[in-house]
Formats: sequence, structure tokens, C-alpha cells
Amino acid sequence: MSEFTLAPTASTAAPTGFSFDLTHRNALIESSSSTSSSNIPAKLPKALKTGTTIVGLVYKNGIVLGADTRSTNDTTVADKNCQKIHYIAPNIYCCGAGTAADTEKTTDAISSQMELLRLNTHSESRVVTACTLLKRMLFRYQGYISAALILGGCDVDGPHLYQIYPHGSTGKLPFTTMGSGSLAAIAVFEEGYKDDLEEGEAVELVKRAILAGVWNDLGSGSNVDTCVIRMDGSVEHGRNCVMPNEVGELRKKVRRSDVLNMRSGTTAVLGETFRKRMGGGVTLEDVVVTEMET
Amino acid sequence: MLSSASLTVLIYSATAISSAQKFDPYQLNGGLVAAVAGKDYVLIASDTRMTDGGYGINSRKYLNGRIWSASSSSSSSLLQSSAERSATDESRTSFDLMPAKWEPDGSLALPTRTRWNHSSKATRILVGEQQKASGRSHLLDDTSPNTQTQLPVLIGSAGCASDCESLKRRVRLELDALECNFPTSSILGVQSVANLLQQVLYGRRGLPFYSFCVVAGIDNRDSHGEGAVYVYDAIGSFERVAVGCSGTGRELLQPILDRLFSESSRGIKDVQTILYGSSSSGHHDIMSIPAVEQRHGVAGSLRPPVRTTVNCTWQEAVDNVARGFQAVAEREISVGDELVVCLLRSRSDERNDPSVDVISFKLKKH
Repeated sequence: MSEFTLAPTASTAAPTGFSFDLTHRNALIESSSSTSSSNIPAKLPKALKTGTTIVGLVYKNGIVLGADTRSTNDTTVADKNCQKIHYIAPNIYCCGAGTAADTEKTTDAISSQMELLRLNTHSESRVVTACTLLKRMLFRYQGYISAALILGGCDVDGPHLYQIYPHGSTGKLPFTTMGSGSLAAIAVFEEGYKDDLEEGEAVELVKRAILAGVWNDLGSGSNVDTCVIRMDGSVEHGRNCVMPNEVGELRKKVRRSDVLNMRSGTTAVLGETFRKRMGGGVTLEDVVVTEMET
Repeated sequence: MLSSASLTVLIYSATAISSAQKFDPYQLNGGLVAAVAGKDYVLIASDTRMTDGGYGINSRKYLNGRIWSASSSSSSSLLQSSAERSATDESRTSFDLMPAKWEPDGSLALPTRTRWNHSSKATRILVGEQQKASGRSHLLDDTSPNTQTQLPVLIGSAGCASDCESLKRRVRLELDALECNFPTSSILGVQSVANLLQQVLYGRRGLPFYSFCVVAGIDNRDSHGEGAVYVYDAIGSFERVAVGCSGTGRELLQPILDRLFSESSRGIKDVQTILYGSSSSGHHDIMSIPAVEQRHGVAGSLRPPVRTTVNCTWQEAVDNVARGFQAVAEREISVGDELVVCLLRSRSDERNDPSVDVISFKLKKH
């Protein structure tokens, strides 16, 4: 809950935010397993990281955001076609890099705060508001929420693009990239970015930047997602607008194992018993209907 | 008292190390190597991607320390490819066989052509025309007359690229030294190379070579010339297997290959048989050898409990390996770019001479 949407209440309110109850217990378990002679490792589960390329740029008539669609768990590809462009408000979207759960929950939390704020104020959300809420939240957690974000949208003041680091520092920029493929992508932007690009040119540049990340950064891969947010309030999603790594042909070659394609009758029937259904339909019992107090 | 005092010092220094920055001289450069032994062939395969240990790609065409010949420098200029010898011989196959070329340091040279395994029409390039057209420059001058008839023993190594390179030099140095001392003797057999590799790896027990190897060669002790494959860990523990792989992603590749080869060896597609095994023999896995058959020789020594060759043809084997690598590349970020398969064949019905060929496939690039 933010200060915009919630009046300060008494301490009876339920506690909000993260619970750190198990921190002490987990630390004890980890330290005891390393010293004791038992060989069972008691390690905490590792979070899914989206080794990522995300980009955003301001063009003549709005904002273009872009992201790849690979999510990795160490060196294994966890998801070949995930979504990294998150909804914040009808006119604001946010690309996330870092720990997948952190980026999703953070953008979720802020988008619900923005929704409540819109209901309270009866006015369109502003990008700077979302940026402030995000950086406050991230700063409060001192970088432990590993979400590196590119926030873009159009409001009454025009198109805005912010980059937000996990520790809460922000920058307002005409174009930016983040994630493990950010170097590959920023090289493309530095080479190709101009002020007041046309929409077509801007989308092409974003695609090129993401593809640079896809090919040259092992943490990024699969397809390209884009999102165009225009000044007239319209939004165009380019989900999987470039798919250079089709595996359809490869999949067609796979002959499913006969073990998996089981015919009916494969499971042995040990015995059969048929019992007649008792009664018909639902019976209501022990229900006392009382009059409603008014 | 002295011992307890020194123990205290030891414990003290151990805790000091754990709190300080650890010495970590290793880097995992990726790479996945696999080998399959058949009745009259053996193949060894590797991808060609080298990573920086993280999300960076060092090379998309790295093969130098991955597949190399463990036969001494003078004898590894080798053998014709069956592709060079006669195009008609290979006309039945859909594979684009290329002659194996060797770098001066014994590594397998990267082939010049690759194809998609899953392209619908099998492109067979007539070898003679292709050579005329491309005018390929050979890395080694293979104009020297081919008097060599013995196949090389090949080693595939993945892990830390510099360690693999160093290991290659050490093993080949040993072999050159052997040839210098005993010039008349023939090149080492595959089982001798396997033992030598163990010695070299275990020699560095304290600070191991961070390289995970497979050895592939033709076993010439019997007349059949059947394939032999050995897999290793980093410090020299090894065993002979029919299908082996090591490197990053071997946890993904091994079960795929086991499945593919047990199916093609079995040749039975019936559900009941696969699920419950054939009712007569009772044992489940076609690759396992029952206890009775494990005993051999007068001393009653035991064979390995699994078969050490697969039953399928080399074409099937190459196809299975290519499929396995393509599947692993989809999920393992450090495997990709290109797959190089080196095929050694000891004999066939039409051909009497052994041959060395290379086949190459494309893998995912991202």
C-alpha cells in the first residue's frame, strides 16, 4: 500500500510487505549443514534469473519498448517464450530484468497502486508517479529486490522513458537498455538512434537492438517482443514480432515414443464392480432458513 | 603436544582461507562431447561453442581442444576419407561426408560445410564436383601417399579450454616420446591410449586438469575392428561404454542417447515389450548383460555389466547423436552453433580399407 492510496491507520492493521520470520531459521540450517558431517546439502532454492535484453526508446510520437523472451536458471533455459514487458497502467508499460519473481511482483504491486490512485483522482496515470513508487520500493529493500526496470509511457506531459536500477536509482533518458544483453543492445542504439524517429524506424531499431542481445548474449534468446505506446493513448503489442529461432521443423522430426503414445487397454484391469447410484440429484438436509435481520 | 599444536595451526589457517578470497584457477568454457561405439565403427562428436564461463561467447567455431587425435604426429596425416575415394559408395546415405583434415597439432580441423539435420530434402553433394567447385585449401598437404592403414584414436575433451589444450599437448608429447623410443612399433591401441589418459589425468590429482574426456577408437585386438568408447571424470576415473558423453549438458544428453540407442538397438516397437520387457528373457534394458554372460575367460573374470557397442548402423548412430545434440542445445545455453561428428569405420562390405570422415550439423545460434 502506498501513501497515495491508504490513510495512516492504527497499528492494528495487518502487517504488510515481506515477512522475515524464517531468516534466522534458514541461516541456522545452512550453517549447521556446512559444519556437521552429514553430506546432505541444505541450500536455499535458487531464484530464476532472467538473463535478459530489454530496451526502450523515445520516438517522435511516443515510446517503443522491447524485450527478448528467454528466461534462464543457471545455464539451463527455463522458459523459451516468457513475457518481460509488464503492464503498469493503460498508458504505461515496464520491461523487467533480474530475478523473474521480483520483476513480476514489483510491477504488479505498483500497477495496482496506480489503479487505486486513478480511482481516487479520476485522472490518467503519469509515468513519473510510477517511477517514484518503484524507486521508493526498491530503495526501501536496499537492492535485495533484484529488479532492473525500463519504464515507459505517455501522459499529459508527453512521452517519458525511465531506467530504474535494483537499488532504486533512476535516470530519465531518450533511449536505454538493461539486462545481461544491455551492452550488445546499447551498441545498436548508439549507432542508430536519432531524435524524432518515425514509428516504423523506431520499431525496427528496437528489434535490431534486441536481436543483437539474442545472438550475442547467452542469457538472452528466442523471440522479440515489442510494445509501442503512442501519444494518442493507443498501445500496440508486438508479441513475438520476430521469431528467428523456430523449432517447428525440429519438433516435427521427433517421433513420440510408443511408451508415451499408449493405446486404450494398456493399463490392466484387475476387476470391475458396478453400483447403482443412490437417490436422485442433490438433497438438502439440516438447513434452517431464518429470516434476515434488517 | 607437537601434533596438537600443528593441528591447531592447520585449523586456524583453514578458517583464514575460507574467510578470504578463494583461489579459483578454473574457468568453465562449456562444450559437450559424445562418442558412440558400433560393431565396425566409432564416432565422436562435439559442439563448437566456447563460452567465457558466463553469458558471453568466446568462439562459435572452436574445435581445437575439443576433438584431437591421440596418435603420434607423424602417423596422424592418415587415411583417405571414403568421400574422397568413391562418391558412388556413399550414394545410399543422406549424410554429407567430408574428408577429415588435421591441424599440425593433431586437432581435428573444422569442416567447411554444414547442413541442417532437419531439412526435409537430404542434400547430397557430389564430392568430386564439390571439391572442384570450392577449391578448398587443405590445412595439411594430403598429397602425401596414404600408406597408413591404422585408424587414429580420437579424444574429445570439454571443460576449461586451456586445460584441455594443455592436456592435449601432454598426451601427444607422451605419444611422440614413445614413437621416438620405439620407432618400429605400431601406434598405440585405443585401450592403451585410454590407460595413458588416465595416467596423465591422475598425475594431476592435486590440481586437476578441468577437462572431461571421452576416448573413441577402433579396437584392433580382434579381427572385427569393433568400436571402443571410454568416458572419464576430471581425475582419471574411466570406464568402457557403448555410448558416452561428457562436458556441460551431459546430464541432459546421456539419457537422450541411452533412450535413442536402446530403441534402435532393440528394433522392437511393441508397447508391451517396451513396458514389461520380453516375457522370455525377463531383463528390462537391452543394453544390460545378464550375470551369466558376464563371465568370460578361463579365470572367470567379469565383463562390464553393460554392452560396449550398439547394434545400429553408423547412419542411425549419427542421426541419433545429431538429434540428441539439437535437443540439448535447445535447453542448455552453452551448447550450440555447430555440431561436428568424426566417424571412424574399420570395414564394410564394399570397402576393405578403414576410413575417417567428418559430418557437420548446425545447432541453434542464440
